[in-house]
Amino acid sequence: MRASIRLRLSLGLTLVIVVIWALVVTITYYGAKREVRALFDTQLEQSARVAARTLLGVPSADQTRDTVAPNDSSEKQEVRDQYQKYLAVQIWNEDGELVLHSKNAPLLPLADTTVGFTDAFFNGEAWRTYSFVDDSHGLTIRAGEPYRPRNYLTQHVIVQTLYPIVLGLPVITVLIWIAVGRGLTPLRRLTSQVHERDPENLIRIHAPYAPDEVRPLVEELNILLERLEQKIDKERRFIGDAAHELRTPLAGLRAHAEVALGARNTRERTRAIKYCQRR
Amino acid sequence: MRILIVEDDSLLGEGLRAGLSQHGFTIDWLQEGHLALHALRYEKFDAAVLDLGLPDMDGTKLLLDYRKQGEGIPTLVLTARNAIGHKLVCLKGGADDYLIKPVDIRELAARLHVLLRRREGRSTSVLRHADVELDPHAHRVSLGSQQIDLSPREFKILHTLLHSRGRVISKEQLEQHVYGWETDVGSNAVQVHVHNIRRKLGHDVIQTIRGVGYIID
Repeated sequence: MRASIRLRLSLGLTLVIVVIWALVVTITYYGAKREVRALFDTQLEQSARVAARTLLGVPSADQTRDTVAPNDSSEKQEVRDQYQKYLAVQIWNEDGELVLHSKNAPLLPLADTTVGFTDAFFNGEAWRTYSFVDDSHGLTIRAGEPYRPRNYLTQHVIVQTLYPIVLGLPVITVLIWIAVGRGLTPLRRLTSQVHERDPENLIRIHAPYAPDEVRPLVEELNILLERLEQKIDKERRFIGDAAHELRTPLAGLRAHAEVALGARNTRERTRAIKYCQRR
Repeated sequence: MRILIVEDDSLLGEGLRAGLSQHGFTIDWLQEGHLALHALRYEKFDAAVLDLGLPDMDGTKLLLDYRKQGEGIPTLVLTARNAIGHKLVCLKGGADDYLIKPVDIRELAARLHVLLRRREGRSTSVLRHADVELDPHAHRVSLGSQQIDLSPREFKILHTLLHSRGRVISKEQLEQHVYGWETDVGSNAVQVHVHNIRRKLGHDVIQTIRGVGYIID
C-alpha cells in the first residue's frame, strides 16, 4: 500500500492494457484459425474434385479452375504450389484396393469409410482429409493435406498481430508513466504549498487548482486548521485569564503583608496576617 | 483624603482598605460597579481606585460612563490586565493612572498623592499655612521647626482643611472625610478633634464658622 500512486496507477493501467491485448490476440487466434480452416477446407475439396477429374479423364462442363486464377501473380502461384505439393490424393475402387495415388500419399486409406471432412494422423503429424464417392466409376476419391501449412498461416497472422503490441508496450508504459505524473501535479503543488507554511500560520489553505479528488482533503485540512486555531485561541485566553486570576489574590496577599509590616499595634498586625492565611 | 476603592476581590479590597488607611487615607470600598457609579454621583471623594474585572460591569465601561457625566475625580486603574490595548483604552478614556497588580501599597499611596496634588496644580505634596506644614507622604506635621504629634484622625481633619484652604468645610463633610461610611461616629467627635488640633498648633489655626463649619484661611 505504500507504493506511490504513480507507480500503482502506471502498473495497473499497463496490466489492463496487457490483459485486453491478450484477449484480443486470443480472439484473433481463434478467428484466424476458423477462417483458415474454412478457406483450406474449400480449397481441399476443390483440389480433390479437380484431381479426380484430371486423373479419371472426365472433363467437367462446369469446371472452373478457381484454384488457379489466371491473373494471379507468379509469387502467389508459387505459394499456392507450395501448398499444393502437400496435397495427397488416393483413388480406391469398390473392392477396397488402391487404384491410384499421388507420390506423397500414404498407402493406407487417408480416411476410413467416411465421406466428407475428417481429421487423421499420418507419419507423426495431423492431417485434414476430404473424401467423396464418384458414383459413375464406383470409385472413392480421398484427398488430404497436413495441418502444417494451416498452422503456419494461423501463426503468421498471430505474429503479425503481436508484433506492434510487443513493440508498443514499452512506449505505452512510458507514456502512461508521464501522463500519470502530470495528472498528479496538483497534488505536488498542494504538498509544497503546505510545506512552505510556517507553524504560526493557521490561515486556511487556498487551492482553487485542487481536483475533485483532493478537494475533500483540502476542506478537511481547513476544518482542522480552524479547530486548531480555535483551540489555540481558547488556550491563550485561558492563560491570560489564569494570569489575571492569579494577579488579584497575589496583590491581596501583598497588600496584607504590607499592612502587617506597617501595623501600629498587635491587633492590626494579627488581623492582617490572618487575612494572608485565609486562602 | 477620601478615596473610593472599587474592587470585587474581598482579600485585595480589604488589604487596600487597611493599607491605604495606614497611609492616612479615608477609604470607602465597594465591590460592584453600579454601586460605585451611584456613590461617585452622590458623594464626594478625592480620588478613586478602580479595578477593571468587576462582576456586574466592566471597569472600563464604568470609567467611560463616569467620565461622560462631566468633570470627575482623579481615577487610578488598578488591574491584572497588562495588555497595551487595555491601558490605552483606559488612559484615553479618562484614567489618570494605570497600575498593574500586584502593586506596592506605598507606590499606590504615592501615586494617589501625585494625582491629588496635580489636581491642585501643586508640584509638591507638602501643604503649608503660616507656620504649619503638613507632609501627607511622611504623615508629618510641624509648627515652625518643631514636629507636632497628631493622631491619625486629627491629621486627616487638618489635611482636609489645608487641602481646601479658604473654603468652609461642614462638620458632615469632615466626618465623611475622616470616617467614610463608618457607623457609630460620636456626634461631637469632629469637635473634639478640632479642639485637640487647636491645643497642639494654636487656637487660631482653624476658625469656626458658626452653623456652617470650619475653615483654614
